[in-house]
Amino acid sequence: MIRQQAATAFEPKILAFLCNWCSYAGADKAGVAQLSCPPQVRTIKVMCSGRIDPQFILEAYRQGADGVVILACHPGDCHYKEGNVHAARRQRILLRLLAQFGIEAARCRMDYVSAGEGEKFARVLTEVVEAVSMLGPLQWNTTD
Amino acid sequence: MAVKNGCNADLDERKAIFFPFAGALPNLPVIDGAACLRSQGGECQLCREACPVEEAVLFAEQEQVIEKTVGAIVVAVGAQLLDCATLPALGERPGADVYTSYAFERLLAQSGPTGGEVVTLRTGKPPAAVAILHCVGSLEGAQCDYCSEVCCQNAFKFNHLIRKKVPGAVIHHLYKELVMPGKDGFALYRAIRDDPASHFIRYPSLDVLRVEEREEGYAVAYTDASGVAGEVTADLVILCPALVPTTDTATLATLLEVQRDRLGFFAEQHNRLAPVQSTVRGIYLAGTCQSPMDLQKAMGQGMAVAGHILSELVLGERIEIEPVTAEVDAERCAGCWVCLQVCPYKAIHRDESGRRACVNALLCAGCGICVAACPAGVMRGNHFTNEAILAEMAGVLA
Repeated sequence: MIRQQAATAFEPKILAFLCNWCSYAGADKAGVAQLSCPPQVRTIKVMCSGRIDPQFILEAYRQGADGVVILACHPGDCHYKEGNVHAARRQRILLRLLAQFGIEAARCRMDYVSAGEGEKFARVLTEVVEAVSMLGPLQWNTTD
Repeated sequence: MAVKNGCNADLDERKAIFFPFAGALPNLPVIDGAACLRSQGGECQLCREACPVEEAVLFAEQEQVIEKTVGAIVVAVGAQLLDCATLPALGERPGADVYTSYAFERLLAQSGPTGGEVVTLRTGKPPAAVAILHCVGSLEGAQCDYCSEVCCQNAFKFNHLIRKKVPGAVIHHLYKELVMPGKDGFALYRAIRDDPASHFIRYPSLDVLRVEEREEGYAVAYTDASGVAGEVTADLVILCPALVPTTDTATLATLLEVQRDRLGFFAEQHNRLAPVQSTVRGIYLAGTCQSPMDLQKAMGQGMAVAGHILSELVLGERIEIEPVTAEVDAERCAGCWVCLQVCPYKAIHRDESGRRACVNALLCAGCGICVAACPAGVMRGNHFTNEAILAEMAGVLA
């Protein structure tokens, strides 16, 4: 009960990295379909999810993001052949590093959204906002 | 000197000097070095003596490697039929009246070993019954879990031509799936479906098929799709093997640094939006080296490739490239070559010094995978630089 109250009071800041070809177009699709997307999410467009340097994610946390989402093309559908594979690999390794900092895996989610999946785009973002809301604010730079 | 004629599926023989096939261009005879007595140290020069034109037969000519600089490469090496020697239960071997679709095609041809007569090797007479085995290798196993697309058309064409040449023959089609799409396909199938002397038997997998030699011809034993065992007899058996990548495809792909798909064919860049482009810019694919396909599709691909090349390589015009590319800060590059390994376009190479990476802007697609991978941060992603992305992040998170 207390947790739920905290969840409603806390407005997480979520940063979403979208690739130009699939997930950014998926976001457009969600918009065209007038699906409601959580306003707590800020988006950054890159050409390919493979462009996402893990340092961007660390930097996002440092600048106050409570959670980060990487949305890529589905495996095998990458416009640049294998950028999403690189992104997925980097995210997995990053999760191990984040765990050492005490940052929960739910704060760094990777998922696949194609250009046609407006509904999935809205759903994934909503799930991330809910999950991060449950976790509460990220306080990695104030703990020690 | 006579050797097996590969063009006629080894069903007849040719000389050591020969025309590759009827209608070959240029229409000139060639000498098969492996068979020619002279090239093995002999003194034979019968071909030169027989030739009415002096000095037309040149024994001194050697194979040579010619190097050319080109603006585009078209890969059109085709596919090959699945080797039926790997399927001994189907009985294809030299001297048997069990033919692959290619060999039977040669048997039907005017320039073929029988001059177009459909006769069995065993009796020299036309067959009273023919069994055509569709889907040999196709639609089965991890390596061939696809339809080879041309075999049904091929098999029904055979049916049509056998019917013309041997009017009384009974023809059995054993198939896994019948695939005859397109505006002309069904008409061919319907004619054969409605023919009372053509029979259809559906079998689930090659495991249930066995071609056995009998005193008079062959028996094809099967268990049909509903589990009922049966047998048909035939004087001549035609196998329609799957179209598979050629044995040299892997070597060629490595040479060109283009990717292959999970089945071993050359991979197209995008299966809907870029079906004739390989994964490397400037290298194009046409025909069955990319996927099994019929002639119409292969022609379409070839024309599409020609169109792409002609519209991109215009004499005197500059090639347009995308502004979003990667760029190396050569001063700071340490030459670790991480970028070289991650680039899916082979757009990065070592510069003249061999110590620093260099991006070929023509080949670079601007994905930025190398930018994120560079441990020294010296790969710059034009229009999506680290500074720009970080500034954008600072803006939205403020």
